[in-house]
Amino acid sequence: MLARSRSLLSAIGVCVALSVSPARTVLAQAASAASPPATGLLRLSDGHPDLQGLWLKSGGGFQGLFIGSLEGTNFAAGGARGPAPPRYEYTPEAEAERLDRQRRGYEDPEARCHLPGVPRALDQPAGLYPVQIIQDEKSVALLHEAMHDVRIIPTDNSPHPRNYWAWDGDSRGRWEGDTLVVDVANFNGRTWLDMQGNFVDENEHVVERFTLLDRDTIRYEATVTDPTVFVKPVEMRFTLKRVPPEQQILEYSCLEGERSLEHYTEEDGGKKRRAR
Amino acid sequence: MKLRFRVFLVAVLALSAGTASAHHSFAAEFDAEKPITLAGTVVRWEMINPHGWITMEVPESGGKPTEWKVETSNPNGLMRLGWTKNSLKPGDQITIEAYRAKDGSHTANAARITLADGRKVFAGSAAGSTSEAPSAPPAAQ
Amino acid sequence: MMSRMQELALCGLLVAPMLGIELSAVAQADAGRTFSPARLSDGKTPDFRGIWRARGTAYVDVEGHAGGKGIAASKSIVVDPPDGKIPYKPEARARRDENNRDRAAADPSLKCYQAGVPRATYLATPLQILQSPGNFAIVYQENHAFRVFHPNTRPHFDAADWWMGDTRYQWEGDTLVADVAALTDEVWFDRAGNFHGTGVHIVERYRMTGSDTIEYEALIEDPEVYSKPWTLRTQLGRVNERGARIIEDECLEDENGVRHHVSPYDRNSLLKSDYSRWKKSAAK
Repeated sequence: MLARSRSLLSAIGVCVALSVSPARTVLAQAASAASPPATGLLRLSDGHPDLQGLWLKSGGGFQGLFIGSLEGTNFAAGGARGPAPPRYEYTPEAEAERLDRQRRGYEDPEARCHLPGVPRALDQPAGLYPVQIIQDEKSVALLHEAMHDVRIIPTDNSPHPRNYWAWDGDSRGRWEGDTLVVDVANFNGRTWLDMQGNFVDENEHVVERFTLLDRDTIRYEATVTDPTVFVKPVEMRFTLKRVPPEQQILEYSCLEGERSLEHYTEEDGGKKRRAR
Repeated sequence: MKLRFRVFLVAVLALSAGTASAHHSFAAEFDAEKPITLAGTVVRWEMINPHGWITMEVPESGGKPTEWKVETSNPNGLMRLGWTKNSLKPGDQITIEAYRAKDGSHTANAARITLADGRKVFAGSAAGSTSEAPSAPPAAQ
Repeated sequence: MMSRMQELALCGLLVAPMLGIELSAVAQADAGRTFSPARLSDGKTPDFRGIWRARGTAYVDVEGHAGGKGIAASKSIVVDPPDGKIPYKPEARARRDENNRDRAAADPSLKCYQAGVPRATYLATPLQILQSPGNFAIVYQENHAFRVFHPNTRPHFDAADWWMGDTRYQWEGDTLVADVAALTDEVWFDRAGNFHGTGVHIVERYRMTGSDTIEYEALIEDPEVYSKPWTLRTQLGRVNERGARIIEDECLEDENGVRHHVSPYDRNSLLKSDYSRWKKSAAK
């Protein structure tokens, strides 16, 4: 027990030393040179912006329909014009595949209740499904209402694992100044980017940037690269708005109540073509 | 309990096909060229994810009523408009403007529901263009 | 349907590197009711963060079972009534027996559905508690289910029946007490067909009994199904192997419509085959 206390004390000592070390100060200054730290942001005790709360993608092609505030404003709508849609530049082979998938839209894995992958986890139609963020000094967890998708992102800039392939890949985060930068790799290549047939394969690599702009706004940026699919990285950017505290995240079960697939005609992927 | 009855004024804007449900492609299941109006009696209302389902009996002239299954949009969205699992009860008389399933079954996708008291409520899932606003939630329990 | 072998493999993926942890956790289990947990950054809230896994195999049958096929026997985790039996009303017991007969096909968890409460707590797979001052959530590895615990300052949101219920909590000293309602009746307590109705009301108590153990208790009442409230209790041990993570658990449906858990450590999880298909077809 004594040894335990000692090691705890020394661990605390190291933490204190690190927190006041010149290296950290230099890093902070370097980051601030790129983008001056915003003042007045909520911060955790470790000094990083506090991204916690319930957030909802704002604006976009689909005008936020469902989330109303208690005062009656539809804050999800975000104006008539949403963010510009991303530009996809496919290799010729991949473009052929995209057209084919667009035709076979019924094969969208999300219609089969699969995890959306990244960045689709956040790039759901605006205004529909919020995401709850819980954060501590070691991780930022995204609990998505849609598909009850969970991403627990360590913020220690640790390396990706080997021999791990997942719908959501593997996310590793780090703070660059006030921006949370998340590197996502280890995809299994099964996800689509949307219902329109835009897709990626297992060579997908995403860099996401979460920047708290003010108390109620996070700027989300994602750069999607995939050398076997795209000739140029796909850039995505939109904002997440804070959902008033009167609202809460709800459960979105999917497999449990899925009945639509049984009505797909064979031509549209029903019955014989269901398995994939 | 207060929460769900207080969300009253949510503007319902035009929907673009296939996006409202965010779950499956409207076109894979339903035919936007086959609108249908169903007037009948609620048999069952299931507020389940990813889509709610209304089972209703629609009288046929000179025959037995036909049972229809009508898909609504995602219940979480409907709940945020004020719907609950008790918003429709067996025996309620309703009229649903909907789109038929491509497979020819007695299945459809709800765009808008008119309640017995004449109020129109939005239940849209995908293709319905419901430009009028606002949309009130259905009756409180 | 997921075979027991597959399931054990899935569980083993996370747990295999951590043999030995159970022992150290056991040693601390009886540290007593006076154990004082570490605190979050606010200096007040007990710190329950970490990856945890239930001891034992109550997931087979909360009333106890003889074990078999690589699954250890388990005593009943029903601590009240003292006979370890769920106090079903007669007609409810008949339904439990019917569930039990049909369990090989009827267990909702075979379809990769979320497990419900309290079943998710004592599955073979681990869970992770996420916490910060004012926030508490549990992520369950199995089928990536999660529960956000809301403060009990507002009533249950029961506009629908949920697979994981609606949870409101408060701290009673260092014990987290959670009130769970609005659960669907489509979930079971275990693989044996034990069940509840939609009227069920559950009070969960989470209490750290050592730095690596949580005592979990659930008081379950449902006057439609049981003749009186009953309580189950089990222990969670910390999975504190370095680098241990909750891994992604998804199911794929085969050509017969049967769902199988797939492991992200299995190279077959890659879409490679289909991927080469499109590359070939595009090259033509």
